[in-house]
Amino acid sequence: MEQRVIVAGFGGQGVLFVGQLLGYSAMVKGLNATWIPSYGPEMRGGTANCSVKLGDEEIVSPFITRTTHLFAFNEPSLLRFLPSVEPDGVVLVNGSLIGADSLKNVSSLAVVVPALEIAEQLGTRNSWNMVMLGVYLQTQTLLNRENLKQGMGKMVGQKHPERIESNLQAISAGMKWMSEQGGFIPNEIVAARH
Amino acid sequence: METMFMKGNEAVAEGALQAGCRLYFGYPITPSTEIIEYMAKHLPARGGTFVQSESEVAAIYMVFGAAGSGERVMTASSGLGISLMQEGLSYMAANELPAVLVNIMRTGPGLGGLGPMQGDYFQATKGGGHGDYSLLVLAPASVQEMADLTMTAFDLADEYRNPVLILADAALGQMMEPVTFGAREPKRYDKPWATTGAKGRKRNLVTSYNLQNEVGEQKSIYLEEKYRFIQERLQWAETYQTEDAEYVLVAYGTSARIAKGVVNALRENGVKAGLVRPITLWPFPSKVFTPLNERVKGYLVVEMSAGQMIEDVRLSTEGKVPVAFYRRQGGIVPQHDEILEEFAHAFSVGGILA
Repeated sequence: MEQRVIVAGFGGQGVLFVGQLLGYSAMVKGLNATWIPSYGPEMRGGTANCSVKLGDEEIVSPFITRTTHLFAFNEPSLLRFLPSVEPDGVVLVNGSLIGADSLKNVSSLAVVVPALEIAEQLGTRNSWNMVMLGVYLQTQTLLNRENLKQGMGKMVGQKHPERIESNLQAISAGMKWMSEQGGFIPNEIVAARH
Repeated sequence: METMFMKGNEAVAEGALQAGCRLYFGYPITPSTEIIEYMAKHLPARGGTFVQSESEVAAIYMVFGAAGSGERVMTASSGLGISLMQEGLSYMAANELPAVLVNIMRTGPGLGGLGPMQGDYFQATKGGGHGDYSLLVLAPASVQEMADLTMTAFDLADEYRNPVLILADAALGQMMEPVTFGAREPKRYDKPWATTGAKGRKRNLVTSYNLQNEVGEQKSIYLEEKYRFIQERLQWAETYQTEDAEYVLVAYGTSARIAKGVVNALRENGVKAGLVRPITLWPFPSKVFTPLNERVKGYLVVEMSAGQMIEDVRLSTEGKVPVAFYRRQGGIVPQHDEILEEFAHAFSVGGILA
């Protein structure tokens, strides 16, 4: 099984961090993984994206033409990468920034996550992208929370254990929110399969 | 043994450190900058010396001097910077100085852009500087190989007393993959020619200047024979599914990874396809093609250039087999579906487009 994940948003939203965390987590689980950023003259406030592939077989190309999971952190990213999403793929939408109007053309499963609101309830506003990761965990079977925990440990080391802890709490909150929606087909999902 | 999740550029730098490289001179340039960053951070802590030079021209002559002392030394840049180093490289080849260079290719000619390209193949493999010389050129295709081939490059440089170039594109430099270190120890080579202080022995000279044509010819013949010896011994390529292949894709670096996916797709559609991925670009692995030329119906070369390696493929096929070509340029990477389409078009193999 191979997951082809695109994480996209504004610079400063943790786009590259979220992508790298998926890569580290896959690696500590013994899976193959590739991560490649869009790089170049990017700047804070500009757009950023990265492509992550993970799976148990050899990953040939690191580039993604057909996406299984799209993290859309802002509207331009959603519009740009939506055409690449497989019909049975999953679009994880940052509902705190992206309005329902933008979802008209979504023909695969879209989960609109009130990520910022959930993170604010936790008192860690900046961990909203971890909430998105928690939601993602519930839509697939390759990675689980323990893998992310170990991946994070490998990635950021033991320098900031308190940050790892708050990230894990946000991941749990995202998982809980998703399960409260009734699992894979919650009410909040714009399920416009064609 | 430790497995890390690293960028290709970081793997090059860590590989160099583990190969015993203790001197680094360079000037930063996207998309190779993580190499110099890694060296600046880690080299002093491991007992080495790091200098950011004022230019690439200065860097290559610092490398020249350090190599003359027999220490393991490296520099890295992108094509533009490597262009500036060509004079020094010619001098180093003439003086048989071992060093490792890395070119993380971006687009060209001129200032170009920051995207991945393979347009520096000619510069790398056909000289680039003046005179009859060759660099040994290695082409990794994964982050693990970025580390492994860098370690190998130091051994080859010492063994053959010649600069060795790692030729990789920006995608390989920027991408992250798991990479495992610790499986090998650096080899040690005696360097009786090195300028280490002449106390108690005759002094060593590192120079390529002489005004006698007869001596010049002897030196040329010596270098020619050395390069021929290397050509005989070092022809490395990965062959994938070539045992029964009727069609063979040929690509290196990032292009080869995409081509491998195309081979898999063709096989799933019943087409007997294979892949030759040259690992040494100089010497070009012509021997790998010799048995294939007798039974293959066609080659498809995939490059991120207007067509450079394809010339060596054509020479290796001796005109016996048609050679088709697919390329993207300017920082665009060839896409899986496009290559499939070109394959179907070039060899009139129908029914393979999903």
